[in-house]
Formats: sequence, structure tokens, C-alpha cells
Amino acid sequence: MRGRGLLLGLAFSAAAAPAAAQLAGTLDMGAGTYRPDRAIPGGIASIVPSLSYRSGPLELSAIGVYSDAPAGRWNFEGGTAALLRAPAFGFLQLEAVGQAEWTSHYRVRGTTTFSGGVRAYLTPGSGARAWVGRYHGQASSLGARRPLQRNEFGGSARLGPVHLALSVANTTVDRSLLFEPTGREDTLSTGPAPAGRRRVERVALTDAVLSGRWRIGTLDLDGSLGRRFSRLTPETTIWGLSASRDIAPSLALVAAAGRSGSDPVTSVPGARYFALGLRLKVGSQVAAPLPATAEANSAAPFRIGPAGAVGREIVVQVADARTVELAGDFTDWRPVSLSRWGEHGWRALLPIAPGLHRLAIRVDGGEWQAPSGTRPIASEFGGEVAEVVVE
Amino acid sequence: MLARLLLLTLSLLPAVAAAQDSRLTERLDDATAASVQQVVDSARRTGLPTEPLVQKALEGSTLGASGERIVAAVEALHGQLGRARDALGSSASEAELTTAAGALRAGLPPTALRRLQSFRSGRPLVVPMAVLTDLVAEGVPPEQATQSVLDLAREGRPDDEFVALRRQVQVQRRGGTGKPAGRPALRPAADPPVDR
Repeated sequence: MRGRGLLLGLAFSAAAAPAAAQLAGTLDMGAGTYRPDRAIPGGIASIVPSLSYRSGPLELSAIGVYSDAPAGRWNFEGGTAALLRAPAFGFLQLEAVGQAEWTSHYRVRGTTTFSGGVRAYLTPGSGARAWVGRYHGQASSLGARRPLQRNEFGGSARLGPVHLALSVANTTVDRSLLFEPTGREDTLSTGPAPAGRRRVERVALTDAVLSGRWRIGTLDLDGSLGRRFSRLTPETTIWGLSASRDIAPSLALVAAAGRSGSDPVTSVPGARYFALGLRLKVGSQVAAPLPATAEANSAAPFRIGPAGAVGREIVVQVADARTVELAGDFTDWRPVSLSRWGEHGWRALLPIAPGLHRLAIRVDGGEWQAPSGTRPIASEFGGEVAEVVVE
Repeated sequence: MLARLLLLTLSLLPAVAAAQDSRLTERLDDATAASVQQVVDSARRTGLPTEPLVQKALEGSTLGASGERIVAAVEALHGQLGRARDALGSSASEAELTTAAGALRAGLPPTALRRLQSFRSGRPLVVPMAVLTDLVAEGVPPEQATQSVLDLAREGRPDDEFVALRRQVQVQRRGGTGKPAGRPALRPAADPPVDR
């Protein structure tokens, strides 16, 4: 019942979303099929509320998944995450992460997982990003607690309209193993077991996942494909696909299918599923505005300052460059050499009128490109430029 | 009489030459400069802004495009500027028409620009239109982006709030972590943990 209470709480919070400045939420409702690895398959109905809140360096998110199957078989999964970002230092940015996940079920006690850690990002430019993170935490399942630690690294890039990411996460957890002559070692227990048949062992598994997001008109496509490697569990291919199409500003059709892997940390089994439903966008996905803060950050990859007596200050962060040039419709597209400004910064003072401007930079005499921190767009002439809004 | 006419023609030649944009002749080959100049002259005759056309040609020159490609891009922009003026009227400024041309190119309907214009009631449209264009390019559905921008315009918000809106949407849609959310939202909750 705790799950239902949490679900109601999340749904109620989502309904209140429009009152807050940076709050966005969705409520998915659908039905489909579900084939868990070790239970009876069948039809299932799901309700999935999600919320996200952003304010400056702070980001909070929560998601709940409630499913109801025939014969009173209900399950609930909830998750919350909090991120706190430090100001960027050149290409480097640090982020503190805290996460909590829990499950409730119709017949047995649920599971909880708490973890916290630090993630470091490297943003070399053109929308590409790499990260590395380390987390520690604890998982509780079936009445036992297990310390866990997780290391991850990954990278993401935007290839035209497609945003791709590859992540590799290695999780280790101390577990109590059941020895079975049949060799089925992936069924693990922390509950009472006959003496002499249990031992504690450190279990490691590695997930490598390629994920992507592609928006085509009003259609959003999300996909992920991964492989789980573990000494104790069979290698498993995990995947998920979802598509949502806007049919009104606050309503979308959504479909999802996939195969989730079993979670050796909590002993939750894997499953295959398909679901079709509606997504209600509760609150505005386009958040109400707050005072500008990001461009005041001198470490932003690219920024154009306010108009002054001699023009606007343009600063672009480019590491390991010998020369950086800028050209745009405010320079008659004549390349202007930037001066060094700090460790990785390059700077110029130029008169720029408010409005939408096109520009590009060239590093060490190479190709013209959109500066990091701007939205790159394909130029009619080949290559890419950036369009920026100047206040 | 003939001598006077000849003299007048000769005296006007430098003026005609001066009307050609020197930036084009300096940066483009003769044929391309002449073709672009024709489009520029056509725009001038119909009261459309010419500077965006020149800038488009210069952009092509800097990015190393062929003359053919430059002329085609300038002609396309000329058409977009005409449609922008149809949407906003002849009182729109050069910057507004240029930005509106970009908005129409991004797929926004002229009615959205007209509504924005009516809500701004004489205040500059450049930043709101640029933000609207940016939101659509960022992947926000046009109706949703339009509604958000119109809401701000209706409330008489200043330009910096439109820019802040764009920034927030970028952060939201790109994801603060730089990682796309590959986990489908609509899915069943997992079954209970297995205890054997």
C-alpha cells in the first residue's frame, strides 16, 4: 500500500506542477503484456507519473511505476534523484548525485536502494560530452542489507537530430549466495537457508548500454540497447524502445516495448513487455522563465555579454588552441581573431545588435564550426554554424 | 540634346557603380557578385531589407561555397523575407523581417507571428521571435513553443525572460547530464524479488 500512497502523492504533486517555475511532469497510463522471467505472463495496466524540477545548479526528479495484473498482482517501483552541479571549470564540471529507489509488491516485502556519489563531465565541444562517476550505497532486499558500489563512464554526442550516448557501468555488491547442485547461481538469497549452503561473495556485473533519442516532427523516439556481463548471471541483452507522438499540447500517444534485465542487487527479475497508452503532460514542459543566470557564468563554453560602450564581450572556451577566429553576420563574415582570455578562454569585443545572429568559429585554421555551448545548425553552404539570440 | 543626354548618362555611371555593394565585389567572383546584386536590387525595389541578403552571400563566401550555391541561398532568403513581410506587414523592421524569415523557415505558421505581433503591441519582436524559432529548432512542438512565447508576450514580459525561457528548455531537452533518457516511461513495474 505504500506504493499506492506514493503514487497518489506523485500524481497529486504533478497536478500542482503549473504553479511552480521549473516544474515539469508527465502521467503515462496504458495497458499491455508482461512476461517476467520467473512468473506468470499476462495482461497488465500501468500508471507512470514523473516529475522533474530544476533551479540553478539543483535538479530533482522522481518517477513512479505502478502496475496491476489480474489476481491482485500489483507492483510499484519508485525512484528519486537529486543532482547538484558545481560551476563549470573550463571543460570540466562536477556534479554530486544522490539516488533512492524502492519497490513494493503484492506478496512480499519490497526492496530499497540508496546511493550517492560524484560525477565529472568533460565537454570538449560541438555538443559532445564524456563523464566518469563513482557511487557508493546500500541495497536492501528480502530482509538483508548489501553494500554496493558503482563505477561508470560514458560519452554522448549529438549527430544531427539524434542524441546518442554510450555508458558502461560496473556494479559490485556483497551477496549471500546459495549453492545449488544444478548450477543455477543467479538465484540468490539472503533469507534463512540451510547451514553450510551459503557464503558471502562479492558479485560484479557490468552493463554496457547504447541509448539514443530522436525527434521527428511531433514524434519522439527513445531507444536503448545493452548487454549485461556478469560472472554469476547469464549474459543478457537488454533493450527498450518507446515512441510518443503529440496529439495535443498536453497529450501524446505513447508506446513502449523492451526487455529489462534481472537486477542482482535487489533480486528483482527481468521481464519482456509491451505497453500502449496516453501521456498527459501535467504542467508545462516548457517551463516558465526565471532570471538569466547561465550566461553570467564566466566559465560558460560560449557567451555574449551585455552591450557596452565599445561593444559586447564575446568569450569562447577552447582548450589547447593556438588560434581562434570568429565570423558572423555582425563581422560581415570576416574572420576576427580572438585574444586569449584566461586558461582556455578566447575573447573579443564586437558591436552586436540584439536579435538572432549566425556565427561560427575556426580553431587553428580548421573547419568553421559552431562554438561549444551553442545549438549547431547545418549551413546551406555545408558545415555547421550557430544561431544565437542576443538580448 | 543628344550630347546632354550622353553627358547625363556618363555622370550617372559612377552612381550606379557606387550602388553596387563593394563587399560583394570584394569577396565574390564577378558573376556571383552580379547575380547576388540583382537579387539585392530586386529586394530594394520591393522594399525588402537587403542587408540579410548580402550577409547570406558573405557567409557563403567565408564558408567556401560555390557561386551557384551562394546565389541559390540568397534567392531562397529573398523569398523568405517576402513571406515574412506578408506576415508582419510593411512596418516591420529589418531585424524583425530577418528573424521572421528564420521563423517561417523553421516551420512556424505566419499566424503565430501575427499573434505575437498583436500581443507585443508595438514593442520589438526580434527577441521573442528568435526565441520561438530556437525553441522549435530545439524540438519543442511548434504549438507548444508558440503558446509558451505568447503567454510571456501577453503578460508583457521583457526580452530577457524570453531568453531565459529558451535557456531552460535547452537544458531540459538536452538533459542536464548530457545523457539521453533511454528508459521508456510507459512500462510495467517489476515483479517481486525472487527468493529461492
